[in-house]
Amino acid sequence: MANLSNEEIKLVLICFFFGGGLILHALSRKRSVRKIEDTPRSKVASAPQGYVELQGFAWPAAGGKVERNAQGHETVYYRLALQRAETRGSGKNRKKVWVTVFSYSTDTPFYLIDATGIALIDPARTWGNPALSVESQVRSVAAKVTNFASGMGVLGSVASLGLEGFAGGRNAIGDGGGYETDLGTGRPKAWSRHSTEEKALICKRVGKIAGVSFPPSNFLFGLFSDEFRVIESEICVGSPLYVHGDFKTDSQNAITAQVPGLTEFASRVFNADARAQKNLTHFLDKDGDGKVSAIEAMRGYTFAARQARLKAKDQLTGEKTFEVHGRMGSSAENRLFIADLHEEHLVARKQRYGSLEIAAGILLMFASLFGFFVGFGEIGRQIASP
Amino acid sequence: MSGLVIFVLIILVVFAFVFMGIYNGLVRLRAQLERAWSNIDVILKQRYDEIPQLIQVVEQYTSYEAGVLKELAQARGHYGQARTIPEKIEASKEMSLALRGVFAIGEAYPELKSNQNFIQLQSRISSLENTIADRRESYNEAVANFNTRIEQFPDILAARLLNYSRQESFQASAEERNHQPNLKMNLPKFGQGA
Repeated sequence: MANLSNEEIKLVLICFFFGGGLILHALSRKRSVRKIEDTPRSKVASAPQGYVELQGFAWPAAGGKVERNAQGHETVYYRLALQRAETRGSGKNRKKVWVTVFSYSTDTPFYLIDATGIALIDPARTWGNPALSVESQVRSVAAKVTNFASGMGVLGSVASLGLEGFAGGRNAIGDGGGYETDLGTGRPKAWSRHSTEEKALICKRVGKIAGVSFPPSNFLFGLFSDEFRVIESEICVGSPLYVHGDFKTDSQNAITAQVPGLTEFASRVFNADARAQKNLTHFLDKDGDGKVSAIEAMRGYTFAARQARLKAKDQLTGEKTFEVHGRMGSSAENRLFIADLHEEHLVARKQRYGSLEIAAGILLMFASLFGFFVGFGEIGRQIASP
Repeated sequence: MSGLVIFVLIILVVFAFVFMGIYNGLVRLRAQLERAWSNIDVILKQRYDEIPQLIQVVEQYTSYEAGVLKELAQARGHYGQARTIPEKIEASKEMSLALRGVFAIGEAYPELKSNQNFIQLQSRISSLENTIADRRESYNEAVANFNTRIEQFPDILAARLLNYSRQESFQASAEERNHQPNLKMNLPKFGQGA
């Protein structure tokens, strides 16, 4: 073991924990990818009871509330957090933290439609007591350790990176309860970067907040106003949807539904006779590379949904009656997971930078161990004069 | 030296955890495969139970297609005797072929086609066939995942330890895809030949 100064010990620990955090984070994502890839997909009309994987498109439930995001698009799932920058500490320990001053969320059920029918996705529904499952308890402990570690300065912050991944994913807007989401939205965006229309919609939703001067004043370019940022997380109507969780059917009573625009959307997207999705590559592939990217799929299908909803004008005239084959939620064994992409794009998103993270994590941990045993000074001398 | 020992121990512990993960992953895949098959089996059993009623209804309307009905009864018998998954898959394919022949009878004999019992049974069995087809896709996906994983390195090491081998998928045979039922099409005059 080398004789290390206090600074070198700190460097060893930072490298070790940061590397460990990166590896944990990458392994957690890999575990999630493996679960997605290994689970065979079911079709809604023939889905068995218990743990299933479904894939389709999102649609508002009959009679359900439809929220609009800051761009004015209809959503089936919506979360909004308004955060204000605050300065904590003094002198060298001075740092900026973001504090949530307003949050809004909807966990109302919505539909997943595929070529064979409709399933009701119910984020708030849990069968049994999920808190009793081993996975939930491990995640709960990991979440507590993460919160504790993130308050321990630099060391804790970097270690908490990996633990967050293991604890169920970053969710700045608050705990998703018994379910988990992986959405392409949810990144913070500075207030100043929103358009005038978006700001108006957000202000309308947020309203007045006691003790907070919102919206910020533009006087002298907002120099003396608080700094705000907005985090929006949503699943738009018509968005590709991937779900796995616990599926339950009501074999006693057939539940049916009519929803504005669904018949038109289903006829555009599905071949009902073949019980399969149509190949719409020629419509969706805007850049002409022969492949439909995640963004192209999202934009194309949500556009088709908007067109169908506009055409229906919120009326049920001419709408087919669809059978709701079952309800999906969480259970003690299976946590509901919702993503706004289909499987191939979801796996690609989760695997992005995965190998790089693991490689970087291993390098940092080896570096920390070498530094611990050999000493950074010695390493530097060896590098300088081989 | 003690540093080297600690380093080697850490590496061994990491490998142990990795192997444990692979082992558990394979066991989970196997369990999913078995569950996917169970989900088909329950529907095959339901179809098996519907067939006697179907034969009874069809027999009332025609004695000219006894051969087709006999094929169906034999196929049902084979399924009842099947014990392993490959045997059940073969018997199920035989049943599907035989059922097509029986439903073709319905098309050829208008009196039968308009019989309410026949209509209900046909609808019920068609619905079951659709469910079997959907769950067959799901089962085949589970089989493909399993077969791929047990042949990849390093999972192949754990697969050998667990004595896992390739599984057969549930594919439609060429005969099932191309089969055209051979009906006698001798339509008796009303009141005759019953």
